[in-house]
Amino acid sequence: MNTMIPMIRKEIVEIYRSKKLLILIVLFGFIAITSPVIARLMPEILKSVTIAPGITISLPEPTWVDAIDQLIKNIAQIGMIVIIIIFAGSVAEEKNKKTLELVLSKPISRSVFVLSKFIASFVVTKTIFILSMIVFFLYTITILGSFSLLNFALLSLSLLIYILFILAITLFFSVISKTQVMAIGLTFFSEIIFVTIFGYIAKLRNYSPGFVLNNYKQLISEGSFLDFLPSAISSLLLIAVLLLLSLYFFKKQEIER
Amino acid sequence: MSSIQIFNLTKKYGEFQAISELSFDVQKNRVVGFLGPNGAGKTTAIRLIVGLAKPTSGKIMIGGKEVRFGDASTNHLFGYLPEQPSFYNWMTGNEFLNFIGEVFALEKRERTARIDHLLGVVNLKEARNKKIGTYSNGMKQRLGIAQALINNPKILIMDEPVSALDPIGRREVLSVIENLKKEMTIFLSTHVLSDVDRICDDVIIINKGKLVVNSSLSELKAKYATQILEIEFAEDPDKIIGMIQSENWAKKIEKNGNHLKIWISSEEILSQNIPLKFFAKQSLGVLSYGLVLPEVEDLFIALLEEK
Repeated sequence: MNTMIPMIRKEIVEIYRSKKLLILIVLFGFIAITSPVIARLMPEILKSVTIAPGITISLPEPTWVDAIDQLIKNIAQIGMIVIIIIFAGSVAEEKNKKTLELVLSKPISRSVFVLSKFIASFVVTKTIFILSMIVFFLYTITILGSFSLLNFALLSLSLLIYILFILAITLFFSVISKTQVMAIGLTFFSEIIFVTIFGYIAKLRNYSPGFVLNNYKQLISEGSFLDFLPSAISSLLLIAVLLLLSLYFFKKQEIER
Repeated sequence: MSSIQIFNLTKKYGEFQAISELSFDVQKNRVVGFLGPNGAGKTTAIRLIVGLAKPTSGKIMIGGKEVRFGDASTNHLFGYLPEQPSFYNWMTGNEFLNFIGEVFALEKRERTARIDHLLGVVNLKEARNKKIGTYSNGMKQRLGIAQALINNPKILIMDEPVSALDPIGRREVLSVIENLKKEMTIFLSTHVLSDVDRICDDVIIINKGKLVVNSSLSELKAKYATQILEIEFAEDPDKIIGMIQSENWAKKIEKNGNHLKIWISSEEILSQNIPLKFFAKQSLGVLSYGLVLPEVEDLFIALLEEK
């Protein structure tokens, strides 16, 4: 296990040097700042668009709820896409570039190799995510009025578990794919499968890892975290299963020339 | 005392049998050349030994411990240089060696001293702080040797360490290997046979995944040495080649300018001076006549043909 620390350090330096860190900072910074700004400006934007003469659109004053709407939409779409693209290559690219040969012929266990990738991706994403949520909160209460910090913290925690789940799926497909493109494709495809399974089977709906994306309003207005517990627990279980499967398949893989 | 032992090793890829029932021993502190034509299974065998590929059947022992696929517990016993190694190009040479040193759990002071020493050995001190992505093939190969030596291994395994290099790079790498002789067991695959002549003590030859020979180079040469005759003629010997071929003592003829190399069927032929009498009867002037030591290439071809 004493190889875990140098492996995690190597991963984090790689995320930094390959500009992936910069991309994540810019992305989450952008989401944190533009979500409240767009919410604030949306009525103005719509007003300036004339749909037809004589028709006027009247909209209520924007509130912090609109900013949260924007935030969730941005994280669920562009945020997830970028996270998947950035981390899909973590194992697959090492196979593709043949760097695995040197590393795996050293005293590095395959479990340490895979887990170090997961831990590094989570540490980096988590740090940037938390900082961006602080920026979002401060900026939103400044321009759109105050709301419960505790409820927002619970919402952020739920989102963080969802991000962790996405990272685990991405890692799993990176392990079983030969290239980054294949891993990206499989991850998106599995996302669709997950959404379909959890979306159409009513009994499963509360256990969906993406539950927070559809029910965030409850959480932010009422702080009803108990409703989110089934989803959080099932997400953590799925993450554990995905990690175990990643280790299982990686241990069986022959390293190709 | 064996450093590497292979017992009945078999590796199949679907129907294709890359290695079949291969067994051999690599003795301690010897430099062993692992030879075979392209596609003989050299790289596959090495990848099985270092645990990157999974044997279909058979057993591998390295430094007295059994290699188990997917388990890194024997990896500290050897240094390994793959064919055309791929590095993390975003690291500098120094950073890469430091990373590998950390993985081997070397203390900081020991690690720094070891890296300094190795960068000197492989002549990369000046480039140590440059990104590996900017290195030439020769530099990468030398960095590959340095990383394989970081843990001061008793066994060094190298797959085609010089094949991708130009003549200067090859000379540099070979001299590094020569300097390591006697300190450790070196097991290297190559198809550059003149390099084997230069650095190896023993040779293991495989073909189609099967063992052809495992012997010391000197024994092998002694066995074949008495049987190659080299004759230099005053003019082109083309017109008598047909006649030589019809003699039953000439197994094989190779022509190079005015020189002929003839593989003789038995030593008795020579002691009875049969070839000498034959050439004396010809109208061609003979400038020199004698036995030559076979080069590894001759042995290699002869052995493969024999099998």
